[in-house]
Amino acid sequence: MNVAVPAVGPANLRGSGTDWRGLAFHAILLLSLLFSLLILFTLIGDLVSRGLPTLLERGPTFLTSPTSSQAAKAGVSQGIFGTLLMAVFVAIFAFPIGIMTAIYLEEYAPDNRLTRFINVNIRNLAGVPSVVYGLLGLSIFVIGLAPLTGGRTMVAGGITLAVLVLPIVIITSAEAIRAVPRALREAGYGVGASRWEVTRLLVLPAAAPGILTGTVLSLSRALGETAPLILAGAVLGGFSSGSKSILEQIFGRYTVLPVTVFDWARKPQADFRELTAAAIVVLLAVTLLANAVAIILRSRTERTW
Amino acid sequence: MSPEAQDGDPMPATMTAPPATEGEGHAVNLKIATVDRPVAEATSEPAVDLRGVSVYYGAFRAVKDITFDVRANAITALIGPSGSGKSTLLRAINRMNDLIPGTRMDGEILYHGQNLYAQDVDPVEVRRRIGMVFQKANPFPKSIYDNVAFGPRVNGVKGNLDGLVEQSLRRAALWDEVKDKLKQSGTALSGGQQQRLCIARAIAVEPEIILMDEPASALDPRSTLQIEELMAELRKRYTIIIVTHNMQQAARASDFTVFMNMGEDRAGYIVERNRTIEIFTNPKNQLTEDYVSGRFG
Amino acid sequence: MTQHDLPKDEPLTRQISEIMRDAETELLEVVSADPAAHPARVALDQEMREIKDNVLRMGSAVEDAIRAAIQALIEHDAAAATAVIVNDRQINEMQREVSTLITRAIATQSPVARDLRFLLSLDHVSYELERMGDHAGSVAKQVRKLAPYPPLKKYVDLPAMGELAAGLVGDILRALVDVDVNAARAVAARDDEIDDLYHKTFDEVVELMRADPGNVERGTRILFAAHYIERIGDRVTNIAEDVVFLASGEIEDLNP
Repeated sequence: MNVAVPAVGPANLRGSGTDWRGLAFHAILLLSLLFSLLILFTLIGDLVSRGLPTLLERGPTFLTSPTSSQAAKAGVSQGIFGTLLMAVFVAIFAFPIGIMTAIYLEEYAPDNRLTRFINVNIRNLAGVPSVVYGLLGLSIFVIGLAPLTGGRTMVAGGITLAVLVLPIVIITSAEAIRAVPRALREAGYGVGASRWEVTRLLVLPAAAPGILTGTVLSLSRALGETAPLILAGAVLGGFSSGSKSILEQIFGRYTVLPVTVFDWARKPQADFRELTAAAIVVLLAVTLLANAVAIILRSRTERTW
Repeated sequence: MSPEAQDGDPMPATMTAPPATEGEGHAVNLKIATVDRPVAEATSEPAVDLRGVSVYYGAFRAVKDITFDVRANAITALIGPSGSGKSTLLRAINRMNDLIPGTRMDGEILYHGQNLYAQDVDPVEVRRRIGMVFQKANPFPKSIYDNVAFGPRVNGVKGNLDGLVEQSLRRAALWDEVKDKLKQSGTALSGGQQQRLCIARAIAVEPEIILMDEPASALDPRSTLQIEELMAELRKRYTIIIVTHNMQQAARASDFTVFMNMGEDRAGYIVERNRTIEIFTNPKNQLTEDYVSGRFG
Repeated sequence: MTQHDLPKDEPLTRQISEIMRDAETELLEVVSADPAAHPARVALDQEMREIKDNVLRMGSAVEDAIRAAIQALIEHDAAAATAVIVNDRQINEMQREVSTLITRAIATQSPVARDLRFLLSLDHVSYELERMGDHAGSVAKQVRKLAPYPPLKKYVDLPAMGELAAGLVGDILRALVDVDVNAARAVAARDDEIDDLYHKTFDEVVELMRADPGNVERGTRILFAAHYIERIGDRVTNIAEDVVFLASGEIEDLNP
């Protein structure tokens, strides 16, 4: 089998000219990047430019005032409160259950059809539109479990969001656990550790950064959800929490920042346009803050290794 | 004269002929001086006794009817071409195969008269007494101290582990190199040091037997020789079973050699088992002769 | 003994070399046809072949030297004797070469088991052959001193001893090549014939010396020559022990 190989002489060192295709590919990639950045900056720029005047004008009162039908007096305090508490609910319900489910699926479950079936279904759940989770939340947590949750309350809404992000937590945690090299587990077993000890003392610490990344992702997702909460009972329009205690507020009516934004965006008055933009800026800030906290926590666990 | 004497090993003779004593005229001591390799005499009980062991992965039989015993305080090498089931057999001895779903074992592996695969035997207890060092050094992503202390801690040893950690690191010939940096990460060491750390980790739980699955195959020649010297020292206190692809290493380092081959049914079987010196100077089986001479496999 | 059937001028060892070479070529043809049968240690096998050929060549040279020395003795030919002494240098050179080749093979190829025993045996065998060459040279030196004078008596036993010794050298090298332990033991046993002839010669010559003091110088030199040939026979026995070692790894004493 003789393949003619072109003679390689000294003249050929310079190659056959410039690599046009390579350059074109490089250019396309660069253009895509610029395009994405352009969209991003335009979006943020537009928002900030529209919202910043209001924030500067109203100052801290914007953040501390409840909603109102009057644009001049309306504020996002209830929205902030609701969003922060949603974060707490998601953290309390979704994270432990999700992580422990992932541990079971990866470390303890036998590799059979049932396990694979479960894994596939969890992936499917992650792709279900969030509106569906809203309906689920409405029928089960708001209506069905009304005695426990109190109906259209923060509890019901929080649990609904937690269920929504649960598949994401499970999938990312499972991936992080799977990524832990087999050699580490073998080393643990080799010195006489039990499965529980290997999981707790070796696998989880090694998977921690990945698991925490998953929680950050799911938290961001949860804080931005609007439709499921509208269905599950967040208040559109105004309500007063007044001087109620925190516990009463949890079991009472509530709203979150994305819903506030939605509400204001629908209003016909022109002044609410600027308020909407301002509220979006606040929403972005809160989301970034939540992410930052999670990232700090994650880097803390990474540093100990 | 010889520090090994108190361990019951035969005294290695001196390297040079002792000088003729005064007053004996021209008498010269013509005794031939040899360097004796101290090998423990056979005690009544082998460290591990394998009888008719077959290991199955699902329906596939990886090793077939393995029977031999492992002498205590000696180094036994398992050699053979790829696919002959050496690693599978090694991992059966400390029940590491249990971690792979679908594996099953026929036959018996007797340890102090007890079958390791009896119903009521806890694999965790087995692995406490039969430790393992792997092919690629796999220290935990923890400090050097915590690496060595991990085993004792999970096995319930409480209190101050400083002494145990130092002793294990000394026995693994690593103490002098790391005594000032015990808090540093174990993964920051060189390859040879990491492997010695893994050995220290294994002996920290005071096992009786140490299994080594090609411990030096990923190391440079100097580290390899260091590990072999270490094994010679460890042999006094522990029983060592080593799987190796490196013929010269098996010849240099072991007292007994078991040669395994892959049969036509792709199951591993024992071809020959003997003292290492016999296997490498005068093997009884032609297949063994061909393998150790490098003519196949 | 088949040595009488073969032409006298073609030492056995040379014939063996020829046969070996043909056999190897045949084997190589068979083997290159089927890659699966190809031995994995080509370099080592080639080196061992080369060493074996060299040793067989040494054996031929030693056989020649013994016969030449005996011939020179029978004819009291000083020139022929000198030729033997000069040729011994070649034998020494061959031994040095063989030793170097063996050292290289052991250092670079890490031989074990049979390969190792083979190389160690051949190192020892080449040493013994070199000493045999020296002994033939020593016989020749005595011949040179005897040459100016008439022979003491008709040489009968000494030539017989010499022919026997040369023949044994050929036989033992064939046993080595075949790794035939029984043949080796048989050859070693026949050293007794040389010993018997030596004792017979010894008694005869001592008698001649007692009879007439004028015979003493010639007689002594003849005894020396006989002694060297007897030593050649002993060295054949040593080579026989190497054959046993090569075959079985055991070290057996074949020299009672």
